[in-house]
Amino acid sequence: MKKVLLPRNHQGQSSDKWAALAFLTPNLIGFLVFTSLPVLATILLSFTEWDPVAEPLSKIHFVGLSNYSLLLGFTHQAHGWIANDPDFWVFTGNTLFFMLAIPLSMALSLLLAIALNQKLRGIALFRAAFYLPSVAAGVGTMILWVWLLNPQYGLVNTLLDAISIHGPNWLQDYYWAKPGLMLMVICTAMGGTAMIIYLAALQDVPQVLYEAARIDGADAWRQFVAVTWPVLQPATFFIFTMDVIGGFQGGFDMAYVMTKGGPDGATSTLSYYTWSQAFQYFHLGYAAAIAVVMFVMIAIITGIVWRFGGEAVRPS
Amino acid sequence: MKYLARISLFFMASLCIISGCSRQQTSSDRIDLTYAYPANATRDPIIQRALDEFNKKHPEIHVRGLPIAGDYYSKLMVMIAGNTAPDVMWMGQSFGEFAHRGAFLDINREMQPEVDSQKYFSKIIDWYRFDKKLYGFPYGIDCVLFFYNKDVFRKANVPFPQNSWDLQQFLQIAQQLQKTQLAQSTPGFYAFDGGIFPGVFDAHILSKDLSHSVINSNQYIQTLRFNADLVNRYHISPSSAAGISDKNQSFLLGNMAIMNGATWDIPIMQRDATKIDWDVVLPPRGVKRAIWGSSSGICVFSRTPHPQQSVTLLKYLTSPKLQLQICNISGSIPTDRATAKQWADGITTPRHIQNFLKAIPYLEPLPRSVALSEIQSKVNRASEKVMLGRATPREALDIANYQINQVIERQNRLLGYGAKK
Amino acid sequence: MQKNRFKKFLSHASLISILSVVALGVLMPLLWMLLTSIKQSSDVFSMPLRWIPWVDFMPTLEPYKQVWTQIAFARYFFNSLFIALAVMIGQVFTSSLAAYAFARLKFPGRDKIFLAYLGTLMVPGVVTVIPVYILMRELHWIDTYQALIVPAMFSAYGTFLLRQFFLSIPHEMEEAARIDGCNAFDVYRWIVVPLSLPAMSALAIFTFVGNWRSFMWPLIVTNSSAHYTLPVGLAAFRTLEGGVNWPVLMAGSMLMTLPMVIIFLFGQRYFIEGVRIGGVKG
Repeated sequence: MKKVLLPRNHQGQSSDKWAALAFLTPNLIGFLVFTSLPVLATILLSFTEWDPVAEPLSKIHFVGLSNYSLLLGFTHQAHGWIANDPDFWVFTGNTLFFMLAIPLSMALSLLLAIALNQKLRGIALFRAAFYLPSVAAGVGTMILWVWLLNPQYGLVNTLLDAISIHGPNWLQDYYWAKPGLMLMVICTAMGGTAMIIYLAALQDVPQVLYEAARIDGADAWRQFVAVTWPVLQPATFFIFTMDVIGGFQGGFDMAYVMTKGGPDGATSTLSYYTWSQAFQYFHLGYAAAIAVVMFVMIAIITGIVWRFGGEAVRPS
Repeated sequence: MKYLARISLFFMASLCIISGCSRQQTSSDRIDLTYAYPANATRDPIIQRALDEFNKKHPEIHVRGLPIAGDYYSKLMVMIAGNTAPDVMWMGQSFGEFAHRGAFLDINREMQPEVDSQKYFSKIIDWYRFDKKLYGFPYGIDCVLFFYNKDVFRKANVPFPQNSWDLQQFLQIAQQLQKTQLAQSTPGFYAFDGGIFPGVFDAHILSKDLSHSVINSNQYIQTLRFNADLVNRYHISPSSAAGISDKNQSFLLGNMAIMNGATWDIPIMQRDATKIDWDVVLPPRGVKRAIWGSSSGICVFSRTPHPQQSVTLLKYLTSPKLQLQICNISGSIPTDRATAKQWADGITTPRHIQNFLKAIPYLEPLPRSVALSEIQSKVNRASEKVMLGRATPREALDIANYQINQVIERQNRLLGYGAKK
Repeated sequence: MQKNRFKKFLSHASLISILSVVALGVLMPLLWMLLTSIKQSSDVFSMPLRWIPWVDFMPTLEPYKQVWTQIAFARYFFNSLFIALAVMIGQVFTSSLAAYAFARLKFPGRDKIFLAYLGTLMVPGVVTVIPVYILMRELHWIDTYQALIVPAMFSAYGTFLLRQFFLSIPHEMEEAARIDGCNAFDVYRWIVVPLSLPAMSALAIFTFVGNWRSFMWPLIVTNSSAHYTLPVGLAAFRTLEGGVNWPVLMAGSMLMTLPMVIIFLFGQRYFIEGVRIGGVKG
């Protein structure tokens, strides 16, 4: 092991500042140029009305907050206040509704990770089997789910029939379209990244503690609560945060491939809305404003989670 | 520390090297053009061959073909935004959206000889005109007729539909088909999938000058009601699922007697309809005869650095010789009259292919409006509301009317048009 | 003793059987995709959905042949592989360094800068695509490999993930090493990284897979088919009018999924049998 002596402060610890700079630089430069610059550009864009086909970038004109007032504002009409953009509120509701699937999905992933954490022969194949759907998920899987959710012939309703429940019209029904999509997401994602992260995190649980707990007479559940769960907290925080962030920004692929945001806007999420404003209607400024509003919403929620994340969040 | 520094240096160096490797090569005094078009695995080789021939014939020009997969118009928008727009591009239904935004060159003067020659269907050329200018030239025509499964008709003992039929007769035939033994015994059988085109009821979305919505007319209410009745009252149509439902497959399996079939379905049907006997008929007439139409055309980018050569390419791409090749692959009617006849003569299935030519006088395109996509989404929402039973046709269309006017108003403000369209 | 072993066997057996059932359910879509890729085009959909049309099922490898001949599949495959690997290496390498700084090193503004990292994750990528495209044009990187590799490398995702993992490593080992005179980099290289191999291999897999399947950005930034990645190349089978050649598309998707399975099977070893350096862990 090479030992390079660095100047130490009076407590005997080497100064961190230069080391930090060296560690950060490769990532920071790229991050500033390729990640934060576009983000700043997007925020700036939200104060403009730019139609790229009609005007070249040089002729872009600023309109201040008018995009935001159009998006979030209300006007007073004869019979009360109506929203300037009623679709925005409906789609926000859709997005939040879809996120209700997160806790269930996380729990299933944890369950799978624990089950797959055994040192059994061939367990690796099972891990691959469960991870595969989330990885191969694409147009093919989504189209299959359109068929699975077919009211007359789909497998889901056939199974429900077997236990004498009359299944709804799923993707053709205004109220059941979202639950149908959530079913697909849970089935596809339960073996996905969350499971992988939990699998990795489970490696960090000290085996010794399990032994100790068993000797103390703890049952499986008690062992989980006392030994496993605390170690999983940073991972859980990460997964939850990413799921919330992802949830706010998600739903695009499903809407685009399976329902086109229908029926009657029931499955349109904010990301689908942003995309259609930008890439179908060419309202880049407005789309940027929606993106910024989404950012604020995500930041607030994440901030709340951060506050209550406790040990999982703050480095000691 | 040295280890880290070495790694970072290596990293940066490789980045520089890679970026250096991709330096573009500039050619001497040859003009380079780009032609963008939607990607299609079977059609692309043909287009590439055509471009190669053009390059040979015009050694001073070099055209690079740019097939675009995925969302064609979105990618065009990004390219224009990033200043990498192609010189010449294919245009379909969204012509109005790009043209009214000033994306295209006025080629009225250059195409005058073609227009004067009277060889082309002038009605279609007019779709590319506004403000007394011509912003593109069509090479192919698309329309939607009715495909019907002759086997199903025979088994049901129902006479084949004739071009002269009207909505009443259509309903009668469809209901007859739905009541037959075949229909009862086949799960998922429907007499008809699709809707009746609003133009048949003389219903329109926008006013003639595209300046405001006229969608909450009695005629449009009638359209929505009729189409909803097909599903809910007469039970001859399935409730529509937005997105992927592949009605072609239903039709091929004999589970559908009649469907809305487009010109672009012809090659697909020729490939897949091996087990059924099918034909095409003009859609029934209502208050008048109207048929959904669209066209494929070529346009030149308004800010291209090489307008002259681009127009030369445009003329080549819309020439009758090329039209036949491309229309055969794509399933499109050539815009050159003689070639159209040749095209129809060269097709044996469906038997009444001539109906496509007969349809041309009745074609009505979707409004060539600058905000077509947005307007269309409002119209779709309205009909979905009606289909779901969430609103009556009148309510849904009133909402759509209000929304569409808002869209137009906003678009005008954005583009600084003011009172003009 | 015997009873214990039998009980263990029973619990393992029941676990395996339950897992098998669930796995089968979860793999069903993929099974359908596989079956579709060997069907004739006209057999793909039927009412009701038939998995194998026993009557006249003629399995054919024609779709696979078509995938290779109708598009430059080999080229797209190479592109996807090269780019995904490059992004994976770049992302894991640079973000692990940065993550260590955020997790263990003290410097002014540390938490604020980290918050900025987190912030960029919260801005939907849909709109940022356009400024990045313009940036690419300024750099003359349109339709180049670096446009496909470099921007993707610097997502804050990796930094966030690894920081969380680094946080959960007990301090004792690092402190011991510091007292022994190791500087930050040595601690990083010899202690933190080996202990974090599970997390880093997880990140490697995610980055590879995410990039492998990336469609929108490669679509936007590439012009010539020489630079297409697989998702973009396969999209040529879905025409503008909506007609899809299902068997060929499924065959392409199957071929596209294969490397991801391989990378996963290879990488998942490190979750479980991660290299350890004795010490605190039991």
